[in-house]
Amino acid sequence: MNPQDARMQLLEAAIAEGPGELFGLKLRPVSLGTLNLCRRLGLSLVLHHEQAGLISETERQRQVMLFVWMHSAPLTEVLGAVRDGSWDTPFGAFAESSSELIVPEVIAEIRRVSQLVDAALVEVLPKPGRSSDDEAPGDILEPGFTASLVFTLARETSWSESFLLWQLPLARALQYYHCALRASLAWTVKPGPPVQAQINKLEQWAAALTPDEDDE
Amino acid sequence: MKEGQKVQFVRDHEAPLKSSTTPMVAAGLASGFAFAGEKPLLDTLEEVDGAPQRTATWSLDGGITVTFRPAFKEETIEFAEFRRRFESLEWCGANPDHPIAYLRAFSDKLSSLRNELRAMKPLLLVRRGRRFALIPQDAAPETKARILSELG
Repeated sequence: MNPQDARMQLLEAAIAEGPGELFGLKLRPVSLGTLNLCRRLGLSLVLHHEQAGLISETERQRQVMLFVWMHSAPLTEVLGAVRDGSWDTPFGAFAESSSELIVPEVIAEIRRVSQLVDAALVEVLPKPGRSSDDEAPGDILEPGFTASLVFTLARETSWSESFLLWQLPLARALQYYHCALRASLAWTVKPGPPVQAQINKLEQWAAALTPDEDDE
Repeated sequence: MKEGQKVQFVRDHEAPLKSSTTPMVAAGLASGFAFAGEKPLLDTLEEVDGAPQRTATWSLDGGITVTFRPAFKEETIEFAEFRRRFESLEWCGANPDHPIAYLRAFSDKLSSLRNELRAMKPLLLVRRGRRFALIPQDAAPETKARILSELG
């Protein structure tokens, strides 16, 4: 199967995404809102899933538990705890009662969702020639990633903020965002490699440069 | 850099210590041109099409002009005299328009630039969409993590 066909299959598969169930726990979908929580709580297992092998077993287990907690506990409890920084208390209680969670199955679920999300990700290619951006001041501020997506999708669809943040699966939200970008005639292309992977490669190349070798 | 300042950028894709741009910049400085600010060189390393790409960008003050005056007499000298004049800062200072003074100034500027360049490491340039970040090679892990999170 060529890469384009494989991508299309993943995009179509994402349309069926929705709430799920793991070990009898009902899970909200991975959404724009839960991605935001993953960032706030530093869940590298989700944010940089390609580096899952580099995370220690204990940390992997902790992140798996956090992932399941934030998708299964009542949303108001999760948001309140993350907002005031007290999340380790309800999360600790959850982890105590759910110690039998099977880590490989959760990681497989994260990997499955990440594949759908990766297929939906695009980057906007700047168009050549002069644009209004060329004359923008250098200190212009950009909105946050989550706000930018929610705003665009709400403007295009009139869907509620709550639906966009917590109910719409991320893999679908990104596809609809892609539609909005194309509808505005933006040039969208396959995203570049993950930032951490870029840094790792650059550090290897940089380490091979020494002033002596660099010199003529 | 100052507001409204005219800046002349000079860019190439070689390591500054190897590039022929560096001697040209040194020659410009020796002639009386000046950098546009306190950090006149942006030296970056990024991945382009799977390969490392080095980009060195010098910023020079584009508002400066320099006048070259042929204010020296034609003369014939031996190497010993050339050396005496070249090694004498006093002589060069007293004869600023003489070619030997220019050669000495160029030599000094180039040596000083090369010494500074040897102590510098290229910044790592990473991109995500239209955003980019410059990461010092010796940045602390928490600094790198902050930059990563800002890139989204």
